[in-house]
Amino acid sequence: MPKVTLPRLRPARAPRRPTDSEPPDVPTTAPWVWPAVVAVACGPFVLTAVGLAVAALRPPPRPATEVVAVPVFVPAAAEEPAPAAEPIAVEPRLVEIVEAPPPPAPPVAEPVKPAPTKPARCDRFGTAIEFVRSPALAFDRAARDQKLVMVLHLAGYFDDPGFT
Amino acid sequence: MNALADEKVGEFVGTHFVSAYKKVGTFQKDGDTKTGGNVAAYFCLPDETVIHVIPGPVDAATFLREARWAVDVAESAALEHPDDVFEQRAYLKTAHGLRYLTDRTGAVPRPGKGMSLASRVNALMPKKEPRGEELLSQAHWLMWNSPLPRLSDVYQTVWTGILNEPLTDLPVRAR
Repeated sequence: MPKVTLPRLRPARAPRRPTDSEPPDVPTTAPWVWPAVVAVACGPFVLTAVGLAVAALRPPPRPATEVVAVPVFVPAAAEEPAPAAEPIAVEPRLVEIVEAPPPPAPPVAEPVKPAPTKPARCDRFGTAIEFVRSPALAFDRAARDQKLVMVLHLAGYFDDPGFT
Repeated sequence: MNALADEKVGEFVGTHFVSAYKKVGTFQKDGDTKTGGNVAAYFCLPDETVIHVIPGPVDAATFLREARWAVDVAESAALEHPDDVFEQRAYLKTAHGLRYLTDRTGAVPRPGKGMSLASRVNALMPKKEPRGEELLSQAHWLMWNSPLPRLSDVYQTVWTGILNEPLTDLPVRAR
C-alpha cells in the first residue's frame, strides 16, 4: 500500500503582541461596518418594538365589547322607529291612492246618462200623448223633471192598433 | 181610449205628466170584433203613489176634467201640508169623498157644528164598496177608502174589482 503523506500542517502562529513602539493593531474593517452590524443586530428589536407600539396604539377590536355594543345599537335602532313613524305618515298617501279609484266612478255615472236619452225616444201610438217605454222610466223622469206620472193600464198591445 | 187622441188632452198631459203604459190584461179578437179588454189611467206622484184613477174608457172632456182635478188636488195637498205625507193623505181622502158625494148628489157637504169637513164627509160616505155605480164613482170611493196607495197595491183592485177584467200576461188571441 503506498504511503500517503499527509500535508504538514503549519502550526498557527501566535498573534504577535504589539510592541510599545509599534501602534496597536487597528482593525482594518471599514468604518461603516459597525453601524451596519449594529443596525442588523438591533433591527429585529426595533421592528418588534415598533410593531408592539403600533399594536398598542391601535384601538383594540374588543370583540366582546362589540357583542355588548350590539344591544346598545338595538335601542339606537329602536329610536329610529321614530322615523318609522314616517311610514304612518305615508298612510295618507295610501288614502290618496284609494281616492284615486273614484275617478272610475264617473264612468259608472255615465251609463246612467243614456237612460235620460232613452226616455227621449217617445211614441204616441196614434194618440196625442207621448209615452216612454216603461212606467219605471216614467217615474224616474218625473222625479227629475218635477212632474206627475200618468200610467195607462190596458189589455192588448198599445203599439199595435189592431190589438188595443 | 179616444180621449187620448184629443189635442187638448195631449197638451195638458204632456205639460204635467210623464206618461207610460203597461199591458195587464188581454182580449180575444174575432175578425173586427173584440171580446174583453179594458183600460185604466192612473195619475201618480213620482213616488209611485196614486192620486187618482180613471177606470174604463171615457171621453176627452171627462178625461181632461179628471186629469186637471188630479193635478189641482195634488198641488193643494202639497201646499197645505208640505213635507207631511200623512196630512197630504188625509187631504186627498177628504177630496175624493167630496168628489164622490158631489158627483152622486150634486150637493156639496158642509162642515156641521163641532164637526170638521173631513169628519162630515167621512160620516156621509158608504162604508162598503159601491158596486154597480159609475166606474168613476167607484174609483173615488176606492181612493177615499185608501188614499195615496201605491200603484202596485191598488191596480189589481181597479182591474179586477171595478173593471171585472182578469189580470193576465197572456197574449191577445186572434182568430
